[in-house]
Amino acid sequence: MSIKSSLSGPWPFWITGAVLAFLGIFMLYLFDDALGMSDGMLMIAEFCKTSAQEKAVANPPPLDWQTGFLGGIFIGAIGCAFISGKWKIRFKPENTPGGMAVGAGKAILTGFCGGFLVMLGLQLSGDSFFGQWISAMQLSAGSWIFLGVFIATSIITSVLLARRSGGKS
Amino acid sequence: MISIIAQIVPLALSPNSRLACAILMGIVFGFVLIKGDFPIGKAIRANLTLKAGGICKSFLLSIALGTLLFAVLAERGIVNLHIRPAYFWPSLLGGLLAGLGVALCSRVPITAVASLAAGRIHAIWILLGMGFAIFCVNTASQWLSGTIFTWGSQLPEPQRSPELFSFANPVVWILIFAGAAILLLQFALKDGTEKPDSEK
Repeated sequence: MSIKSSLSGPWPFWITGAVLAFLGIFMLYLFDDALGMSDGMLMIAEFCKTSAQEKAVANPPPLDWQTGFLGGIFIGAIGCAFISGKWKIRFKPENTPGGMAVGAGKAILTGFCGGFLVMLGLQLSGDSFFGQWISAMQLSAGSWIFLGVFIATSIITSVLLARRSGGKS
Repeated sequence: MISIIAQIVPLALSPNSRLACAILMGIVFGFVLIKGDFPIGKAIRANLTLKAGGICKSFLLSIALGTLLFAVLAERGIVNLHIRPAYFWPSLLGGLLAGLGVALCSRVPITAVASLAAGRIHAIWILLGMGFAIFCVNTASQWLSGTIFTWGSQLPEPQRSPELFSFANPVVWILIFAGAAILLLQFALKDGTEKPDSEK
């Protein structure tokens, strides 16, 4: 397998899983700190709130390792999406029934409510999903409870929703 | 060789080096997330509705391998334990709410960011919903501190097992469970990875 084809072609699950595991543990070695994006997201939310109150962007967004990591994810994902041919402009999720307006309306409703519930759950549990994932590797009881309930709830709810919509979503 | 490994300690980078490394690690992470189809809604929904198993297998393998790596490296002092304090009921309630949310929007924060980067403009609504949740939790933080955050006792920190490969060590059980689940998914479900445009 050449470098070009390995970069542009699909990866089997075991490569993705192994690379993710090595990256997570390598970050723990590099930073020697609790990993998680919750502090970074709080800083971004605080920045947005201050900018909205002052109706001006007085200072640049806060930049520490957590917000830098999120920025890096954005850059890496753009690059990979272009290289792999997965970059597509979409205003509504794939396979959403209905026309453009109905589909976009559903995307707004499900996206906003879904995002709200995901972050509310993460804030209650006290860490970001990335942090829960890394903590589970360190055998944190709280992270295993969170992940177990999270996986069971998301699968059961998704199957029920798919049945209700006749397998269209 | 063993003496060299014995001398390795966690790097604990300074703030500037940490920022540079975080950006680099983020770029690699974003790349791998797209390779694994984690931010692609169609692939996630197929996995959540048990029509495909590629993402579930990657996730299970990453946790199992990461657990084993951490156990081996922590024993040699190469990495240290860094977990936030957790409580039973907030963890359970958090998992329940986040699971419901993922069933609706198919993304968690980092995959929503990667999804937006991959051109899925609708991920902006997910990120706005997440931002609104942070605002609500900040606003109600005093009430939450006195109620939900104190429900149940603080969960104990993980104990290190003296032997790595013994049945008293939870790492072995995680490896067995993850291995069995991956095998089951491998034979019962297809991978379901999204083909690039050129291959369609």
